[in-house]
Amino acid sequence: MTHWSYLPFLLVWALTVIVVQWLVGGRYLWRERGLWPWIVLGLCIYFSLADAVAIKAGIWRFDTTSLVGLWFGPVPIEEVLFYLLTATMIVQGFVITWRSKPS
Amino acid sequence: MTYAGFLLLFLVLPLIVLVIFLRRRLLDQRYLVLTGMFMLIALVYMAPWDHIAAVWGLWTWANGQTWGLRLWTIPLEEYLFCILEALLAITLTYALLTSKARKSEASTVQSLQRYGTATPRGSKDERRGIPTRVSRRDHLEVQIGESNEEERS
Repeated sequence: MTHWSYLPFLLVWALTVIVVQWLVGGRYLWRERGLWPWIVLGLCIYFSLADAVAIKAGIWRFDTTSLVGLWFGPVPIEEVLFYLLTATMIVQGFVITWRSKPS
Repeated sequence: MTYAGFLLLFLVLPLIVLVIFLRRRLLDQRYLVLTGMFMLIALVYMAPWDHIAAVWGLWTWANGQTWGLRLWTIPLEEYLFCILEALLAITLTYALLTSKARKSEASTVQSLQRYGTATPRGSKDERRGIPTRVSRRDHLEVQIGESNEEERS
């Protein structure tokens, strides 16, 4: 099987969940739109900075031929998107389940 | 820096700060159940994806900076990263979501009281000067509830 590059592999994996979350709990996410996007943004920036430290320290490395080639210092744009999308999935999932309690 | 050192610095340390900050607010059954559930879901959803990427060689980990324990092609630390990221993200969201809720609830009661449309203490009978067992019980419950709110904030 020919392997995918990082970006499409990430987008298919994460956007599937994010679309389903909006279909199921979009109204809760919309109601809380003043809060969770800031948490996601904050987490994305924080983890991207942490990622820079890990890459500099050589803990993990990427196959550069599978990247689009946009970098923020040592951090490929795919990694920034990875933290943005994973934070989105987790935070949105929690907001929906927390707000949708039957009471 | 090892992968474990990275986890301690960027995941465990901020979690400790959050735990110290939230303390008893963390003893909420729904928060705990949902957090456990999401940590599990994150793990199950991440592992096959991460494994395939590692097999394809999209990314690799330095052997000398990991413990050397691998499940599939993934180092144990990577699973911990996934769980701890979920825990950190959810706990932060919980902290902000509930502090916001508490503020707006409190201000709603205050403004309703100010305009005389809500009287959390006592019932109609009690206001007319007819004490009832039920209204006394309600009275006590509301008092306890309020004193808890004050204590926590």
